[in-house]
Amino acid sequence: MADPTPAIAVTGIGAATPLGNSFGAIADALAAGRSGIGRYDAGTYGRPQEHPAAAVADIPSPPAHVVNLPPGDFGRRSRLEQLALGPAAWAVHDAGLVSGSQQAPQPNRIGVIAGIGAEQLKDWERDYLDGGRDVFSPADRPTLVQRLATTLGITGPTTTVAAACASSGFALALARSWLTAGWVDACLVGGCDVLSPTALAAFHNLRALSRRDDHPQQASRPFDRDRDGFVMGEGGVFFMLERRADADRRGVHCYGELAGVGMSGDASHMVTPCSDPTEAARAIAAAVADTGLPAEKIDYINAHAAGTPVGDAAEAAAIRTALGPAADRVPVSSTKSMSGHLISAASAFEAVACLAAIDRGFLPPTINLDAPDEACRLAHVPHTAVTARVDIAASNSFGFGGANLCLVLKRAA
Amino acid sequence: MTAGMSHDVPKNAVPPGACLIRGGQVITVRRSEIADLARQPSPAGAPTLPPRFLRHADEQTVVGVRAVLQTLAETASDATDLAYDAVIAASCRAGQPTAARTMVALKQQGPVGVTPHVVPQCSLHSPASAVSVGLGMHGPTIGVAGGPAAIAEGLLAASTLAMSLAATQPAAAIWLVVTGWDTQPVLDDEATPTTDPTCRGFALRLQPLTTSGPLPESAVLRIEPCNTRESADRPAADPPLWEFCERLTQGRATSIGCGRGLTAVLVPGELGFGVGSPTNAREAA
Repeated sequence: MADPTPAIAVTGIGAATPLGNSFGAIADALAAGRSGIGRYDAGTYGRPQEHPAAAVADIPSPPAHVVNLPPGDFGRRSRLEQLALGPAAWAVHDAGLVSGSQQAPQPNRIGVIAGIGAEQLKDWERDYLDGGRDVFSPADRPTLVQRLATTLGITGPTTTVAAACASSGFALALARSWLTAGWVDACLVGGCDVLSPTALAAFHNLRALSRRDDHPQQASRPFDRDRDGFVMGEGGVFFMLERRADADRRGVHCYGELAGVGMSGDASHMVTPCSDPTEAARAIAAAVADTGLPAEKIDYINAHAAGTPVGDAAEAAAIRTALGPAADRVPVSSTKSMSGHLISAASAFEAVACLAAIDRGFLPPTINLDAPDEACRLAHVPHTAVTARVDIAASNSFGFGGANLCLVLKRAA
Repeated sequence: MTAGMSHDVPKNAVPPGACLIRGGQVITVRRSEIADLARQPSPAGAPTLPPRFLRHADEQTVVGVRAVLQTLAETASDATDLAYDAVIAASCRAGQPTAARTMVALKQQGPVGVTPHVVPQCSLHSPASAVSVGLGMHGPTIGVAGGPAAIAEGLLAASTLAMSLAATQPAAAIWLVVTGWDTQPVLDDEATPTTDPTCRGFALRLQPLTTSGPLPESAVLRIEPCNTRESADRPAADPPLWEFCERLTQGRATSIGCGRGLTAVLVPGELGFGVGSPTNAREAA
């Protein structure tokens, strides 16, 4: 009988983010407390639309030995698809699971799960701005994740997962279950999102975005008394997950293990963040319980904290409720202060931040945390990274509509 | 590679992710009837939603919520039973009319014309969140699919979530809601629909089965892995939603391929799926 709860290892990472396009580059940026946020103009039809935002400077093309695309093909794909395909292909490369190699599972034993919250909206918008009429027409086509699998030669199960800002975290949770059940032998999983005029306008009109347009690098201020909203970002982050025993058999490097998952729903409001911390705390507590370890063993929490007045305070209360007295000493930071909010890709990016903390031995800071809000009383890591051994790190993600998720990652022993 | 747990379970044992189907309903609505349904979504015997709860909702969300409410009415379920239920909603190109109106507004008025509801109400997660928020369900809430494989992805996601719930909230159910248009509405240049197609959906209330018991032969959803080596006889892709709904109401089993690695098998048995329509809403009012 196979192990009913096998350890699940991260064996490959690919990324295209405002803080870098590789695990090492992202770890360096987080350790340096570097901001990836700048002034961004999403203007359309000759009208300016400036916001502080975190854009990806260059999206890496897939390595040719993983995906042999015709010249110019990658550049012709939509930005959203590039932010999926580039990182996904690099994760395949990083894990050494190139199709056809003797070590690789059969293509139908590899799954693909992508957290993408509003794929069609972004596709329709891009087409419309280019003069197309897709948004008016009944034409149908495969989803991005289906196209991604086809491009990579993967024929196992695929799905797109959406839980707003927690989308890629829920994708990771599903991937872990697929591997645990033995439905797949490897799973390519992550998320992507793109800056878009419609989304920026919608969040701005919702008064959810920071209005510090003149000082973009100071605009994302999670837990700070003067926070006034989040800063939108874009990016794509993909992982290869495998059962640890399989990864060990292949002799491949493990970045860490996905050791715990907790999920819940606020059932509070379609738009407004829930000020009651009960359900978010339940997700955090469930994730910790899933690891079989006490809360005191958590070495670091990467908070969802996007910089919204209600959301940050509710999360602080949720962490205190879930961890109890341990909350006074477990370090907490929000890397969104540097990366901006990558929306659908946020959970995946923040899982990378946790793995970087484990690998490099540091606590990523919350930059711009000049005056911590009393309502957000936690063991903060303000301004600069702190050297520390991190064996177990938790990452919170909370989405529109009350989707709560907590992941726990741990050092691969 | 080591074969996983599912290859080792004894015959007739409950495989990971298997669920008992505790109820379900199929809903069929013309586009022109959806606005009325949004105003009065609850049929007689179902819980009521907060006033004007669906006023910004996408058409597929309205139909999905109604399918859940209709199921609750038919099974005379107490809303307090739902507290820790989870929701999976699989839609296909939901939010298109609102997205089109938003594009037109962006062009004509600039960013100020973009409705703040377009993201929370017209994204892939929106139908699931509407069910969860409207009925006070505190389990995991996610949207899946978005394209032509909505049924397969919905069944697979529900079974996936069943594994987690069976371990952490064994009494909780999973609501699987699948919606789509028979043909997507055609819109004019101002994003006004010029056709009146049928929007269709179904809701299933699924109870995760524990792996210690026997697998029921009927009223069950299960996932079957294909052979480790890829088979030439690929399982069937998603049938059209209307055909799948018809099979549900007739109690006919359906197998759908989830890629070439897994097959979702749904055996509705004698549950007696009804077909609802907005008429019920007017009767309730």
